[in-house]
Amino acid sequence: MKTQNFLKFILMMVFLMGFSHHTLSSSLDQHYIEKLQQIKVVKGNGGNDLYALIRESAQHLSVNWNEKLAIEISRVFNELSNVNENYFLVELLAPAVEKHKDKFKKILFKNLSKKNRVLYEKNVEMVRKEEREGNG
Amino acid sequence: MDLSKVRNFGESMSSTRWFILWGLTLLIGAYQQDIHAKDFHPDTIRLAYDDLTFKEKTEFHHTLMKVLEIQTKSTKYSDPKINVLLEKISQHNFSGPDSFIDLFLPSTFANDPTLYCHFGGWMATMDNDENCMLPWSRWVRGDAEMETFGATYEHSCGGANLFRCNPLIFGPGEDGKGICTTTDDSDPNLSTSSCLEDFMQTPDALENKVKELQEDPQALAQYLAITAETMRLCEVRARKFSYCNDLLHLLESTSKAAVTCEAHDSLVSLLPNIVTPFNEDELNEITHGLGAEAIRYARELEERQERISRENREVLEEALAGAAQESTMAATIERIRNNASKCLRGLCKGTEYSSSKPATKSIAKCAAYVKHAIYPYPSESGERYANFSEYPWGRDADDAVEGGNWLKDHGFENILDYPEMSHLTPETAPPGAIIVYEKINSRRNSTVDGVRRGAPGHIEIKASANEYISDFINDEPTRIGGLRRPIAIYYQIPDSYKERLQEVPQ
Repeated sequence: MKTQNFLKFILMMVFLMGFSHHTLSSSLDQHYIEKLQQIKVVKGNGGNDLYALIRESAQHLSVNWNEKLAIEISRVFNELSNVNENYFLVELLAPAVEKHKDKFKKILFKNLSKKNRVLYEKNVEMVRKEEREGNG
Repeated sequence: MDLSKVRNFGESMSSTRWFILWGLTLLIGAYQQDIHAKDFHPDTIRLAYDDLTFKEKTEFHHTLMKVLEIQTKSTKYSDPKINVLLEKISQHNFSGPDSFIDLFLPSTFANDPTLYCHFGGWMATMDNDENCMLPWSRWVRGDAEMETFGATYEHSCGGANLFRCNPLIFGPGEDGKGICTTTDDSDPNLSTSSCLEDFMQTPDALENKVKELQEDPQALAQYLAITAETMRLCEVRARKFSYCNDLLHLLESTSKAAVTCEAHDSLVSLLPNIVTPFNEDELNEITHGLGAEAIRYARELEERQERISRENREVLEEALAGAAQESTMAATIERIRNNASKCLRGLCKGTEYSSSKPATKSIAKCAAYVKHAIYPYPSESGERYANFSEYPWGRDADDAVEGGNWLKDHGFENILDYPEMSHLTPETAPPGAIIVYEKINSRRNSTVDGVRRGAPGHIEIKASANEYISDFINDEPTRIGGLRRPIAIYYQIPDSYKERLQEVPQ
């Protein structure tokens, strides 16, 4: 009897942990989506706060896939690419690109303008070159 | 004070009164957290305190001591805040026959929840039932406060009913690690008495111990800490611990004999590490008043440290304020600002640019651009080098993250290495700074100052408040949303300023 109760307790705990993780990640999805939706046009060169938001969203997306979030990240990244062409910005998307290469890149390229798609590919290559050869 | 009454009282208190007490405790806690808050009105505490019954005041005192104890624990007894708190409360006129300071402080130790017990020379903590815990248990050995009393239990004697007495109290024994005594090693009374007995049978034990302590002020300070705590323990738990009389006699006489005039100076500097509001009286008793002197010494030292740090900071701030105007740096800034829109010496190779580029666009050559700004090519203004072999760091600079290696070779210093300036950030650093970042999540690492850092990183010169320049001009530090982490901020500090810096006494 005691063993049964213990097993019930363990099962309940596992369920609750799984449920709370699911609830937490869902609410985080929503949090990032809402934050990104507020960005209609990127001003100046974007700035560290926006970069941080994109990086954190992409990091979250890498472990909790959500198509709506992927679309929002891609849309905002396109807006950012319109005003800032610096190569290092593609690093912001790296976690999502590496974890969901085909899925995410498909959505990303669908949301990037033709010019920004070319820019993205060129910048990815530049990041690789910098990592390989250094910046001295 | 009869402790059983206090305990019974606690159990019989109504939940409402508990609520009031916790409210008061929180109030005191808040006061303690923000002791300098101007808007805090001490009358609030006094009014609430006056409304308590005597018993409630007693319990309040008990809780207050706990709060204070948590504070002293959190600062490892090094923070004088607890004294400051008591002084502040006294200053706020909580005096008179009913004041909790006058009423309760003399009996502080009786209610102090952190009484240590003695177990064969080792200090140990007590469990909830006031049983002395085994000195080799992980709770005791893992307690950071035990450092005050020297080493924790180690070197088991390797047999049942064999106990290793603390060598600090009972001497080194045959193997130098402490006497191994035969006893019931789960009983603090039997273990301690057995250690005492074996120690007293050792020839010249006392003389040797006194001599040993006189030659080692650090050990003497730890011995005094144990003596003071044992005095506190035995004053309120003498019945429970039968070893108290004999042990106290040994500890007190040894302590008094070991504290000589010669040891005075070194002891005064070591005692601040062990003296607390709870053991100050005991320490004074066994050191002929050195406890109070140690507190004075610690306060004076702290004041001196603060003053010198403040003066050093002023000197460094003065030096940095003029960094961007200094002629060499001013020329460097001018150069890097102009270079940001140029393609320097083939560095644009592989990009869409050939001779010029947008000033706000990076070509992943930040380290090279910073190097060229500091040490321009012969055809440019500034220092001249006959050929590339003479050129600092070769034709190309190392990775940005390694920038410190060559900057240091050429007279730059990481201002974050000065404790007085360690608060600076790329945002707050005055212009003229060269900021080095490491790359987060990099696949490649470089060792910088013995630490592995993400390569290639980034380097830039802060040209003005909102101008950070490398191979492009940025209007904010190039943190890239957290993907670059600042690791150093370099300046050239003129010797005239460095000569004015004073050494901070430790």
